Amino acid sequence: MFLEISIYCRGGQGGVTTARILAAAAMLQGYFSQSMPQFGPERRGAEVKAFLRISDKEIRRKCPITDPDVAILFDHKLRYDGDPDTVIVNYSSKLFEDKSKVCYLDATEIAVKNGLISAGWPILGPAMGGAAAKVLDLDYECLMKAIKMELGEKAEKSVKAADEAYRVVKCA
Amino acid sequence: MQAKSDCDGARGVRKLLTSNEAVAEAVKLAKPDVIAAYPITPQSPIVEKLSEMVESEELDSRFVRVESEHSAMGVVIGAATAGARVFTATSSHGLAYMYEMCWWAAGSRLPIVMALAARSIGAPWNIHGDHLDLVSLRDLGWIISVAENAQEAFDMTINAFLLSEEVNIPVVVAIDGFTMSHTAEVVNVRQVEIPPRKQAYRILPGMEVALNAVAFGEARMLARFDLARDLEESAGLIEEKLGGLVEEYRLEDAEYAVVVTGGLSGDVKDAVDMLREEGVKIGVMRLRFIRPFPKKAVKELPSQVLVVDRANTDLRGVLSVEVAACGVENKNLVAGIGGKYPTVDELYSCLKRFVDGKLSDVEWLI
Repeated sequence: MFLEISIYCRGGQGGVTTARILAAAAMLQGYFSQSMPQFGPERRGAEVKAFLRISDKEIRRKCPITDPDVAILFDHKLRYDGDPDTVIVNYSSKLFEDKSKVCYLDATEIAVKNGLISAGWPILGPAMGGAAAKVLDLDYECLMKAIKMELGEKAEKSVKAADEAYRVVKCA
Repeated sequence: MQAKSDCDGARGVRKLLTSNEAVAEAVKLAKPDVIAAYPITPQSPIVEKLSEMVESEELDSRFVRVESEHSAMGVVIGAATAGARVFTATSSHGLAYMYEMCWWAAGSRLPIVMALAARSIGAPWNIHGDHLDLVSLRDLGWIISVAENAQEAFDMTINAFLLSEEVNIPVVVAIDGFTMSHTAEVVNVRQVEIPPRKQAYRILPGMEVALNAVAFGEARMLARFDLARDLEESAGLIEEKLGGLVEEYRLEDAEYAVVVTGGLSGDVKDAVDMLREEGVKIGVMRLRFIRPFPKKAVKELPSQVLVVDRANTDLRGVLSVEVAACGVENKNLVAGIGGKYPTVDELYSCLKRFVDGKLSDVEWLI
């Protein structure tokens, strides 16, 4: 098993942290994992990518992911690379149309409901991460442990958002 | 994906760490008396983490905030002279600014450990990874180790303290900027006891000595010769106790070999596996150290050699020239300058052309 996952978000939405939390969850579940921010100006509002690899063997490569198996879009207007098998998207009003398998949830609503807002921007990472963990078949308990491990005292709202997202994400 | 366990897959000792964090964890175990550093991307998280550890009293060190890298090395030289275990870290322009003092560190034969998050040096401005700063350390008389991943960044940093204090030569541990320094990987964080500080001499208040006074003629030349000889001979200890100067990957029956160092070695190994599946007898010699240079191992390479470099000297890569200096003719691929990191597929096609005899003498993967 070797999975390559790319996260597409805007600076300030929590995509880089999400990659790290999912990598930690996979590690706690017994896998090898790697999370890597796209290195560049991670300015608030700018398009930001983060990469995640999960494998049952040691992960050696460190190149950026150009053709992910799974694309996670924090905003449906963001474009993804390559030809992913699965797209997980923050979208609610109607089904996002795509040739890949599409999983969706209203992460913005979940973030706002749980008070995950920074400088007026919803922090979408916890909800998108919760949904991605479900779609990737990562264990719920490992995810919760990973969030607490990575966020420490700040984890409470994120735990709630991730929990709800894990339950409500739908795949069409 | 099936849950394998009750979320204890990390078994208590495995942590998700960037190479920056792995270096900081290792430094914590070495319990340095003095840490001095000036922040620079992409190294800063190392010393930020260490300063947090000092602040929370997890680590009992004196953290000296200085106004420049030149002073950072000055502080660790001073502290080491008095017998303190010391650590600093830098990158790129920071190393360039520190450069003069790096000579003083080596010439004074002081055990000093420095981490280098290897990064391009301008102009033009660039914050990304390559080995251009790293190779500027080659002629100083430092021991230079280069990690492949966060696990090795952790292990090499611990070993750097042991090695430096055994041979009285400063040791640098290089990690690739961003692709290692900021990439989180699974690391087995061993609990290691590092023996008490050991060094050839100490100068303490009240002692009447002159250190590094003017030395002309034979005295100066002899000091330089002794350093060169001891650096060369440190290979023995590295081979015997510290994991060796090189890692050989699928080289046992190889007709073709790729020489590479740092994190890119992992991508090269993946490309080599693709060629092995096609029946090509190819392997990798990964340089874990570039000072002392692993001459013996390089001389035993198969006849067809490709050197992959992330730093150049003229049109050729630096390692390619060093390998050639061992009498080993080689083809050369210069890649990953300023963070232009190749994909495994790109590396595979270069390796394929090398094996098919179609790669030019020197190529730049731009």
